Amino acid sequence: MLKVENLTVYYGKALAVKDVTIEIKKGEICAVIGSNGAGKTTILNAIAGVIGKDGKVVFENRDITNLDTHEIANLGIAYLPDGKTVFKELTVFDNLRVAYYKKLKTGGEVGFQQKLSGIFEHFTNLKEKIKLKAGFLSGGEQQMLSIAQSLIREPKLVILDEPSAGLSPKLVKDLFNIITFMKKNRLTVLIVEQNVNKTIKVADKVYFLKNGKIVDFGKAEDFRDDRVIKKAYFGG
Amino acid sequence: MLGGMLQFYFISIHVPLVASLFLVSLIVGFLGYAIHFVFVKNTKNPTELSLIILTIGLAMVIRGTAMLIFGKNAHSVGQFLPFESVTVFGLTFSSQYLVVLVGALILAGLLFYVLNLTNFGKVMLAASQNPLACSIFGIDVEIVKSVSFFLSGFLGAVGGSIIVPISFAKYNIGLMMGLKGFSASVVGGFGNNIGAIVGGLIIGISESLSAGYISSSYKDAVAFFIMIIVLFIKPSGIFGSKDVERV
Repeated sequence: MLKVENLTVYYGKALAVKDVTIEIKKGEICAVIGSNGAGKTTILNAIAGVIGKDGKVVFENRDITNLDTHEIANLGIAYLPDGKTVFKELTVFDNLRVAYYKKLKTGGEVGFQQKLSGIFEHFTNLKEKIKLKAGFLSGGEQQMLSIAQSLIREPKLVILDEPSAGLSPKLVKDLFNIITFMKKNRLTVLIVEQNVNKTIKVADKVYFLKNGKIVDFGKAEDFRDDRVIKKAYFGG
Repeated sequence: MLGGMLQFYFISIHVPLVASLFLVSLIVGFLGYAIHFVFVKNTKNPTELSLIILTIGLAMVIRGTAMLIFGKNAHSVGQFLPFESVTVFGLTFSSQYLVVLVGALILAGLLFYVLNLTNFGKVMLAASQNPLACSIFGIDVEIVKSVSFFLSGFLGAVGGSIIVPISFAKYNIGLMMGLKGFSASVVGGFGNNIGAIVGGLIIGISESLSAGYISSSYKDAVAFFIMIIVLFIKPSGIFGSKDVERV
């Protein structure tokens, strides 16, 4: 479904990511792990078209390397960057409506209401606060709203950048329940997450990134050993 | 300024009033669109400050061009209504003030409708808060910005057209009005439509009172004096809410 070939990104003259190749099949959950500064977020930004890059990105047999962010999004890629996608001055309802805006032309008002009902089954907290401005939600609720915004668009591929950052243990549990739900529904997910143990449990495939290069990859079960995780984060 | 000058021009070549208003608003609206399309959109690594400086520079160019074309003199534009004055509760004022009042209310209502009750208006608000998120949701933010620039030019042109029968059309009339409009927004609460109208009324009434009771020489200073007081007492403005952010 998604092929990233020889992805290389520079920030000015500094090399952030070099010759990264990733492949994700439909319905897979793919995790990219590595210590801070390894280049995980850079890879996601490059795939989503937020930053410039060298190399090639192919989504459903279409070269999307040089497309703009909104064009990539309209192909069915939902990106949840680190830092949330909520509009703080808009209500929860309007946040979801803006996220669904491009689908309103095809799905219409009925489609939006149906999607909204589906979203509220998993995000009951948001339903209670539908008329509240997003800026008044807690950090965790804003993160959940961001995920809801991604899901309401019916994406084919969801890209999550550290979705559990700053969440309480209860919300982290809810979050991974939602990721499990995505997996059951054959949604393809690319995730970068500091909570490696939990991520590897839900993932099918893992890429291990170090200093901007993929140094190891394979089935997630091969990475379910603490020594591998320690190596990823503490070196050795 | 441009709205007023073009209004003067079209009226002088005998274009009917309504058609002239329509033409002026469309021309200035499309000029706003073009400014975004040619200059703002193509600015490399834009920051808020660089864009502010860019647009101030463009405003100077437009003012200078208007001066070259229409000259430095003030031109009079006739009132819109066939009668000179209106008397309400014993108070007599120029009929053009009624046009300005009704025009302002219609424009504010239109803006309120577009921004708060249409999907595209919500998208405009969203894009102003978090453009990256809008792109991530598949929205072409450059189109949203272009429409914002068109609307800005359109509204400014209508405002300029209806005010020139009172203020006369001159190449530099917009500067002080823009600054006072900015003060009105700050007093009422930045980003709040109703606040801008109330802020404008407060500043306008205060100016008139100061001209009557103190001296007309200090009239223009009143707007900025009120703005400074409001910034000291309630920086968010009368209708503005504090930015409350939970993390």
